[in-house]
Amino acid sequence: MTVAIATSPTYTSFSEVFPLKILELNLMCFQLVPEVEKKDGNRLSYHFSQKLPETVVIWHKSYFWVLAAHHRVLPSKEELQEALKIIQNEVEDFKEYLFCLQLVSHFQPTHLIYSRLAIQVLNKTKFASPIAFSENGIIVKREPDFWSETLELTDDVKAAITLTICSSIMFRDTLADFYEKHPQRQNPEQFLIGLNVQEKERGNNATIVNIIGNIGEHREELLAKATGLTSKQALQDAPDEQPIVAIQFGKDTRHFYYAMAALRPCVTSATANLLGVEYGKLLKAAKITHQDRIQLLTSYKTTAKEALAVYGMQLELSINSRDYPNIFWEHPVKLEDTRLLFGNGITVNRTEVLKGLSKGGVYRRHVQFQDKSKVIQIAALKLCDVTVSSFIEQLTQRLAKYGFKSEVITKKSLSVKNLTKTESRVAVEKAVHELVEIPHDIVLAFLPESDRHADDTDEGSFYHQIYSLLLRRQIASQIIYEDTLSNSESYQYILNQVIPGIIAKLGNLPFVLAEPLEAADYFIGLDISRISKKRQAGTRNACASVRLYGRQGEFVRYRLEDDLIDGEIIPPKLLERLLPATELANKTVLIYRDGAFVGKEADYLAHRAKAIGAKFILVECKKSGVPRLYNIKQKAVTAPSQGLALCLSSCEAILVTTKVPDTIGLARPIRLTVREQGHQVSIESVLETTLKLTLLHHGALKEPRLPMPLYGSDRMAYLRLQGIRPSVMEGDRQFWL
Amino acid sequence: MVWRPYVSFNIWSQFVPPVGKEYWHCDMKRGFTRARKKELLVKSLLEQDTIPQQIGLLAQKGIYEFHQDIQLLCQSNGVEIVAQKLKLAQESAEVQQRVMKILENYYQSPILLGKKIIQLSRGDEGIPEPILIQQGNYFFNLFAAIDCIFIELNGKLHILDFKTGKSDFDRRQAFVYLLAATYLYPQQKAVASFYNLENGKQSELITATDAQLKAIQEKLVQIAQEHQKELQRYKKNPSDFADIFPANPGISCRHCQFTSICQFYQFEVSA
Repeated sequence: MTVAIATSPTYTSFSEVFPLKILELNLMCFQLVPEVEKKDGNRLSYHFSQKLPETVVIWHKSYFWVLAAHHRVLPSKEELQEALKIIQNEVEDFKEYLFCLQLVSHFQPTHLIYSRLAIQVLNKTKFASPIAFSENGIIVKREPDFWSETLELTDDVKAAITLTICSSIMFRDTLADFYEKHPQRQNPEQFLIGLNVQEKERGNNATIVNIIGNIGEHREELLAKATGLTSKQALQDAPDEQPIVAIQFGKDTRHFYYAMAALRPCVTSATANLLGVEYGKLLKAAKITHQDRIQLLTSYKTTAKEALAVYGMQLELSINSRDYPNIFWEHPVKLEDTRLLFGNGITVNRTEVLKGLSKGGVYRRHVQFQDKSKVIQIAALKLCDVTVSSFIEQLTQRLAKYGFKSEVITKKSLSVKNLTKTESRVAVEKAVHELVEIPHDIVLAFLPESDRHADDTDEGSFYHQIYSLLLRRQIASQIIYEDTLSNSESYQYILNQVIPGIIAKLGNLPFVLAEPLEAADYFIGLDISRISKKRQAGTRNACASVRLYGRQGEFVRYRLEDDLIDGEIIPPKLLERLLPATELANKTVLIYRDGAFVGKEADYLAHRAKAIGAKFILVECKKSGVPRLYNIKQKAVTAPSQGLALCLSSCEAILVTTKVPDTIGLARPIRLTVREQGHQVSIESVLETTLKLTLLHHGALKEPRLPMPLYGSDRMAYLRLQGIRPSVMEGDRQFWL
Repeated sequence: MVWRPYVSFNIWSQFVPPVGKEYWHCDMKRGFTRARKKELLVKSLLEQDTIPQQIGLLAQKGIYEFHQDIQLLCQSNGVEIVAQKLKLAQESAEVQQRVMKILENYYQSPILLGKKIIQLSRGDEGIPEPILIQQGNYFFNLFAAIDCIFIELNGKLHILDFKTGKSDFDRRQAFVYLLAATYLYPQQKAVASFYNLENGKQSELITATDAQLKAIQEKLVQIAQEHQKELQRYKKNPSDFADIFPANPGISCRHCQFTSICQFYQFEVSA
C-alpha cells in the first residue's frame, strides 16, 4: 500500500511521535495560594480551559500555565479570578476554598510544559471519528489518542506529542434508552448496579454503584450542582419517574449523581449479548488495518496541525529513521538466531526449540521430577464435541520422547451447547472444582471455538474462568481449542506449541540462554499491588511479588509478600523479605517494575540496594500510553520488525518485542524507562536484555510482549489481594504460564 | 510401636483448603493445632468442643445407639430412649434441639436399616488404628476415622460419612477413605458417600480409579513430609512460628478458635 509519507532510500522506520516546533506563544503563568495538589490542579486547569475561550490551561508542579490563541489577548488577572469564582461556584469540592491568585512575572517553560499545553489544545479540538461498524445501536469508532512526550537528543531537547489511533466500542444511545428497552426494567437494581458506563461529556468511564431515587424528587438540586452541559440537558429532559444513578470513577470512592441520559452503557463481553451483538464481531471490527491506520493518522495529523498552529506551535514530521537515524535501534543479530541451551549441553537456535528438546532433553528437571519414574498426572476437561483421545495419546507419547512419563487419570466431558451462559459457567465451575479435588499436576481444557472470540483477559470466557479457578489452587492449566483439533494432521503442530509449556508449568526448565546476559547478575520482575481493606478503617494492603531470574534467564523462584501499609510507602521489612541480602549482596540486579514506580518506591529500592551493597538497575516497563512504530518497505507501510526500538532519551525507549501477523493487527510496543535513582546502564543494554528475556516463555513458541520476569506478574498478587493466601508464598514452579 | 510420619484427611485439609473456601484458609490455625497443641492455652482452646463438634459427636452416637438396638427404630418412644442414652438433657438448648431433630430425622428415614453393616463407629473411640502405607522407601501412617461401612447388594463396600451442619461435602475425605479401604479390604471394590443427618442431603456415590488413588496417595505422602518438616522447623526455632505458619487475617478469623491468643487476629469493623 502507499501513503503520502516522504520516503528516501534510508527511510526505513517511523513512529507516532511528532516533534513540536515552538514559534511564538501567547503564554502566561499564575499560582494559587494555598497551593493545590496535582489532582486538584489538573481538575482546576480542565475547568479553566472550558471557561476561557480560545485558551488552554495546564497545571504543572504548583504552577498554572495559560496559553491563548495567537490572535487573542491573554486573559487578565481579573478575567482569571472571575473564571475561578465561577468554577468554585459550580464545582462542589472547591466551594469552601479561599484562593488568592498571583500572576508569575518570570517564568521558564520546559519542553514538557509545551508538550502538555499542546495536548490540552488537542483536548479542545474536534476530530472526525469515523464509524467502522454499527449494529443494534452498538458502534465501533476510530478515534485519536494523544499524550505528551519529550525527546532528548544528543544536542537538543524537543517537545513532542504522540498521536495514535484507537478503536472505541460504544453504545450509540444513552443509558436511558438502554433502560427503557430493558426487559427487567421493573427491577433496575438487578441490571444497573455494577454496570460500567461512560460519561458522555468527557468520555470518562465509571461504574454504577447505587440508584438514589428518581428525577422528579431531585431534579432542581441536581441541576444546581451539574457542571457539564450534557449533564444539565439530560437532567432537564429526563422524565420524572426515571431513576437517578450514583456512579463512581475508578478508585475515587466519591459518588456522583447522574441522569441516565448523560451516560452510555459500556460495551463489554458481559453486556454485548444483552445489547444484541456478538462480542467477537466487535473485537474483530476494533482491529485497524495498516492502510486505515495510516490514512487516519494522516487526517488526524492535519487536524492537529491546524489546531496547534492557532496557538503558535508547529507539528513536524513524525520521528523517522531518515531525519533521526541515531535514535532508532535494532537488535544487532536476528532475535531468532539467539542460541538456547538445553540438557546435556545441547545448544540450538531459538527457532529450533523442539530439536533442542529431542536431542538434549530439558535443561533442568524440577525436583519433583528428578526421579524419572514419576508420572505427570493429567486431568482432561472437555467442553466441546471433538474427540480428543488420539490427541491425548500423542501428547503422552511426545512427553515421553522428552523424558517425562504421563497419564491422564481423570477425564471429564461437559456439554455446554444447550445451556445459557450463566448455566454453563456454573457447570464449568462445578466440573473444575471436582477436578481439583483429585491431585493433578496439570489440567488440559478443550474449549469450543466460540470461546476464542472472547479475549483471554475477558472474564466472560471459559478460558479465563478455568484459568482463574485453577490459579486459585496453584494448578497449572493448558487450554486447547476445538478448531485446532479438527484435523489430526495438525496435532504435531499443536503439540509443538503446548508441550514445552506443559513441561515448564510443572517446574522444569526446558531451556535457558546459552550466552549469559551482561547487564546484571540477577533479573527481577516486581509487581506491587495495593488495595484498600474494605472492612478496615484507614489501612491498605500491599502485596508485592517478585520473580527472580539468573544470568542465563533461568527462573530461580517467585516470592510473594504482603503487608498492611499506609499510603505509598513500601515497608522496609517487606523489602528485606523480598530482596534478601544473603542472595543479592554485592550483586547487580536489574529490577523491572510492572508499570511505573509509584510514590517513593524507587527511592526505597535505591536505599535497599545501598544497605546491602548491591546495585539495583530500576526499569519501568509500561504497556499502555506507548506510541506505535512502523517500517517502510518500497514505499509501503509494514509492521515493525521485532526488536526495533526508538530511544526517546538516554534512559527511555520504545521497544517492539513481538511479531504480529498483519491479519491480527499491529505490534504494541512497550516503554522502558531507566530511573535515575538506581544504578545507571545504557538504554541499549536494557533493550537487548529485555528482548532476550522475552525468548524464555516456555509456554509458547511465540514471544510474549513482556520480558519473562514480568509476564503474568500481577496474577499471584491479585489472588493475595482477594484474600487468598497460597500456603506456599514462595515457589519454583511457573504454574501461571 | 514404631513412630512413623503420619497423615489424615484432617491434616490435608489444614494444608489445602476445601475447594471454594480458599479465602478461609489460614496456615496459622494449623500451627496452633499441630505444633503448639501441648501449650496450656492452646490445649484448653482445643479441648473446648465447639457446638458443631458436639452435635456431630452426639449425632454419630445416636445412630450407633439405634443400631445397637434395632428395635428402637420401630418403637414409638425410640427417639426419647436414644436421647436419654446420650444424656441429651445435660446439653445446651441449641445442642438438645438440633440433636433431637437429627434423631427424629433418622427415626423417620433410617438409611442404614436393612444394610449389611460391617463397621459403625460410636464417634468417641479416639484415634483410629493407623494404616501403614509404603510409597517407595517412605513409610507413613494413614489415620482414617470412618463412620460407617456396609456392603451393597452387588458386594461392593460402601463407606458412609455422616455430616451435620451446613458445610459442603469435601470429596477429598471420601477419596482418603477409599484409599484406606484398598489397604483394609484389598480384595473389595468400594464406593463412598456423604449423608447429612440434619438436612437429609445425600451426596452422589463417589468412586476413584486406581490411578486417581495413586495420585491421592502421592499427595498424602507430600503432606506427611511437609507436616514433619514444619514441625521440626518449629521445634528448632519456636520464634519463627509466624514465618512457618503464616497468618491470613481477615475473613478467616471469623470462626477461628484461636483469636484470643493470635497476635494477627483482625477485628473487622463494619464498613
